[in-house]
Amino acid sequence: MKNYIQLNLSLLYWILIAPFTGQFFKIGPIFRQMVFIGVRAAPMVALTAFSVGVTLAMQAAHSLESLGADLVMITLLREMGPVLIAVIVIGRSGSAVAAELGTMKVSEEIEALEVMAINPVQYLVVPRFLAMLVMLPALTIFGNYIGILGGWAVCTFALDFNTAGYILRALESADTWDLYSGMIKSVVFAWIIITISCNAGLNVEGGAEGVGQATTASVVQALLAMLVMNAVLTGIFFFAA
Amino acid sequence: MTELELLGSAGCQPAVAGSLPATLCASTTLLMNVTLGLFSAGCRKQQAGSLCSPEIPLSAFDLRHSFDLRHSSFVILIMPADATIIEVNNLVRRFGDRAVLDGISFNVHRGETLVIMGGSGCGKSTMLRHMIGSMRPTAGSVRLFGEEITGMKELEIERVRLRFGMLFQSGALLASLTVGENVALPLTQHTNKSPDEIEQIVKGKLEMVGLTGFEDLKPDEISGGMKKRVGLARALALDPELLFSDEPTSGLDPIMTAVVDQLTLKLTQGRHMTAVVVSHDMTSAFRIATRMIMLGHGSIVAEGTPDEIRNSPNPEVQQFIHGRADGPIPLNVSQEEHKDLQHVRPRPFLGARFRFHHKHT
Repeated sequence: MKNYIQLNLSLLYWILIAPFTGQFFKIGPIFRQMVFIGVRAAPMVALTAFSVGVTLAMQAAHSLESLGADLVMITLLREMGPVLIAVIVIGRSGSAVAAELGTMKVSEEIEALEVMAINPVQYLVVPRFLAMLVMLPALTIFGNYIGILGGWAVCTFALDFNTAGYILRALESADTWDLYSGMIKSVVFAWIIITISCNAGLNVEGGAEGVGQATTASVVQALLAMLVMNAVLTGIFFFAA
Repeated sequence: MTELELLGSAGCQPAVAGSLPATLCASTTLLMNVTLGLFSAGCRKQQAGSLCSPEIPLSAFDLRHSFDLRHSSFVILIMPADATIIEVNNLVRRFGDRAVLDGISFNVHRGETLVIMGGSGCGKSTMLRHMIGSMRPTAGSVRLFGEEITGMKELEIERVRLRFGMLFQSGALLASLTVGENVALPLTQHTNKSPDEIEQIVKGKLEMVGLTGFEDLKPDEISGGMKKRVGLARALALDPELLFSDEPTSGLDPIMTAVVDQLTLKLTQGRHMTAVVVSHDMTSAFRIATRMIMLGHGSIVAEGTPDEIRNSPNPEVQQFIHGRADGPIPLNVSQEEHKDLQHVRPRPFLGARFRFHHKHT
């Protein structure tokens, strides 16, 4: 826990304070990480979101035919979109980050960076953190669209909705706050996922076995933290609304 | 006073450093070079001055200057040619109850090549890690370039680390970067040199270690010895004053070992670079060392010039340098001792169980 808090404080220093002392982070590595964390995860996210959209629409169709679009929209925007996509990103990108940094740690690459007076948090964690902070909400929006498309496919081809009716019904059922609440969640999830993954990777001990254990631990911890935070945020939004 | 530092501004205040055009920086550096030249010429002529003592001729000083673009400060270092670069005093490092280093003291002077040798697990690498500031001692002090580094915070020690390079035993290249990018890394991170300049420097450094044309390969596409040479090129990228090497010649063929040794000699004798080398390779060690230290039982067993070490009456030294199996240096440590030395507890039965399982399946 102490290491995790130190990592977060160090991150805040490198992002918020260091640029004012002339120590800027480089933009290139951030874009490289955005491609790895976000763009390459897009097909997986699309498939998952489409399946969820289809499933939700079919579940609604079973009892409430006319509410297919409503259920898809609200569930996806508020809950399923941010949570499911965060789960995919934890499994794919979070574990990869933990394993990559862990391998760098055991192969002395991180110590080499330190000896070259290159701060590992600045060089390795900041690009991944900023990339995740941008790409998880972006993936969530993308996933929402694909999920709604899945719902549309079921409503149009199985339930004889017309497209205009589906869109109108979907727009009526959700308001912008539903989207914003999902976005706030995904930003918080992004913070949790990447800091837990990086912390696990940077604190690996004991060779290949240690890397495996750290990767597993990062996935489990990130999942649990994300789900608990989801409950907390949903509670806050529920009581604040 | 062994080291005199003049810190001044070269007209680049921190507030404008980020937007300072490269040409302005280049011209300022040029101007300061001219000023330095005149300054040193003046000192020579007058044989005295506020900085130069009349008792000490200027040739005894090495005039160094660097333009640190990140911090926008102009640093002039005037230090005697035999200045103490590293001072280790009463260094103690314990792992549990066992003292791996127990009150070690020595100095390293400018231009020296100090070889640290000793049996496996005697604390050589631990010693090295204390000197580069990666480990904190249980007690004692380590001073680099006159600055105490044991109590420094991470951001403070980075300033000291800019002045030395380190060659790791495995090379420790970043696997995600190419060979060229690895060598260029310190330059891209700590200087404002243009990509063309960096490319030229990278080519020069790789040529120095005999790896011309390997810039675009990834570390996993080259051999272990090549990785080590790339690691050396990277360690020399910023032309450091001090080089730490952990087993620089292990895994290299005899010819390349000689090349690396010659390079070390060239750097230490020609450019007054200081080197601290941890090595098991006695041929290489005697070739490059100006002074040698042998560690054992947590302390210094022997210290001296290569000739003094070679002729040492100490049986441990003789056993080690001649590679004899019989002698006072213990070949085996007990599992209890080993457990104290390692961060990870040994698991001797894991392999046995695996083999047993295979045999019966």
